[in-house]
Amino acid sequence: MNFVTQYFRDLYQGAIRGWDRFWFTATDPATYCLIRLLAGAMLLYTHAVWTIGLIDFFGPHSWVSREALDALASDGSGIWQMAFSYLWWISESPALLWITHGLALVVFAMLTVGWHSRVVSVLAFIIAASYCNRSPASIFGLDQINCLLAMYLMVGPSGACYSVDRWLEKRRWRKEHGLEPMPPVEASVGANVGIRLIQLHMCVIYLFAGLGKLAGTTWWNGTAIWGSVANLEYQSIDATWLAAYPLLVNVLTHVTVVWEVSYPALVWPRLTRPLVVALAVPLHLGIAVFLGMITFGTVMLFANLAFVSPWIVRAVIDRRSLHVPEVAAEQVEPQRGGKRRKGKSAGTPVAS
Amino acid sequence: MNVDQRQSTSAAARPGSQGRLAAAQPKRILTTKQKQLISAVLAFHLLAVITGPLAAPPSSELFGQLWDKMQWYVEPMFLNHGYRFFGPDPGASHLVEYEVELADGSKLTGDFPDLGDHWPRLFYHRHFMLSERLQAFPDSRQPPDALLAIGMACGLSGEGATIDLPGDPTINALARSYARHLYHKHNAKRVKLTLVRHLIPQPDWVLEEGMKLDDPSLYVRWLLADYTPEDAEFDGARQSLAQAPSGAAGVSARARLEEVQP
Repeated sequence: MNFVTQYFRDLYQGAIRGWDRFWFTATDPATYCLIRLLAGAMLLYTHAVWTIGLIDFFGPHSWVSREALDALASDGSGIWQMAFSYLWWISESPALLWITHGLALVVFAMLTVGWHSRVVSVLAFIIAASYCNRSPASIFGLDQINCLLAMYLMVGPSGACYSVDRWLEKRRWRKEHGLEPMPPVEASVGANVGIRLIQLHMCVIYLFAGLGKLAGTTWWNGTAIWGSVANLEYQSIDATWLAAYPLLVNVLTHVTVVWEVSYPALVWPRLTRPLVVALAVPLHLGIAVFLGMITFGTVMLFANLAFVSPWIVRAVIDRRSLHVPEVAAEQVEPQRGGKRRKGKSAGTPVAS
Repeated sequence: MNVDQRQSTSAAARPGSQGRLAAAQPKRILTTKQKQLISAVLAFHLLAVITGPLAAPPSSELFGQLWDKMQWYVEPMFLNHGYRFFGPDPGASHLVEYEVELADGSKLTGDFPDLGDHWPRLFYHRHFMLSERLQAFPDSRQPPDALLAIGMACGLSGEGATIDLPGDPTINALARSYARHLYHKHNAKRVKLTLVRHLIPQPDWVLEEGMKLDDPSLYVRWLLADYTPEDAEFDGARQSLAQAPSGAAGVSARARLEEVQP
């Protein structure tokens, strides 16, 4: 009986320690800030495109009326009552709509460049969710990931680096301290929590995307990819030549499902993570290039960056744009050769 | 490159550091109570994250109740998604053809989405999603073979067929909304909408018979709505099209979770 008690005690203590380490370890916010920059740009582009049909989609006689939304809640549960959108308040006034839309674009531009990041990250989420909730019949996966990223960018210091905020901070420091070295960017628990939330949310998305496919016939009989590429409305590059290669269609179909279902498990171990994350690239680029959803494919890749280590981000971005001195470059090299630290595999290009 | 950048970069380059050593240690350390509070919030949020996909139809009573309890948080945080991208099966796509009778009696026709009109691609996709939302009729969940069978049963031949659309509260409401939009946009006298289902050919049809993806036989049409101001108060949302008996089950609050393709 004692060993049973001991097992549960160990389990409890291990879970507590693991939870604490997983969430509350401060991390370099480089990856988090890179995601801010990319997600901000995608949000800006997404909403800039709304400009073309602003009145059609959000104006007084928009495609989706209030009545249409209420019909979705015909059981009286008031589904749309809780899905907040400030756009309902101003939809009757095109002038107000244009002004607020312009301000929204400014907010997304500020998020992209990282200016007043803390404030604009909150505003960006409210704005992005409001657009989606106002016109839910015209949204798709892109908007879900946009809002996901905007939501988690509220959690930590998304402007800690690669931002105007950081640049202003340096300018102030130079003014006050002259040539005295400025402290490096502070490691942040908030950035870690933000990254962890993106990682876990991506696991949930892939898991249910995979499980949802397993409920279908074509994902089992291996023809689903044909159903996607032979859909003219999605198609941006003709891939109907795949009809001549049914086994290739089978392979692509099965790999897609296996990858999605296994993602939540295999993306965590260091050995498998690079492979799992690398496979995201052809899969999402395929969606982007062949199925005409460049934005959706791209934003999924942005979200997958949450699994890339900050040191990789530093090595790539800082060296390229800031001319990292030789000493730093030398320290980067051994990782590529697989130099190992005690008890851990080194050089795995992904975050823990 | 200034000093802080150099220090940060240098530390970041340490093998196996995962970037944690790249930055200065945080000045503020969380207390146990703070961690417990944050942990509770995180656990609740993660429960909300999985509530959406768990409660997406078909779902159990348990997850239905979970949805009811979590809805107040899930919806404002925009977590109400099923994430069933291209699942359970990639199916036919849907378009809407419209015919608008203008005040001077002339007619304007068009469709959405329209690659020629809707640019950039994202803007096209916005319109594509509008028409895809109408896919729930008559049964979007069937694989391409079954969809073809439906087309055949409807007398599909040559240029495709036009059949009547039985009433579905959600479809009708959305169609009414689309029609009302076109009515006001063009100051119209009458708006007629037709739902077009574009079926997917079998690979051997393309390979052996040389069928094109836009072959006319792959299109099936349903009359979706025919609105006139005489018998439809658009703003009052009274529908001119006779409401046929509902062919679909009542739309649940979780209807939104039934994803269209991404």
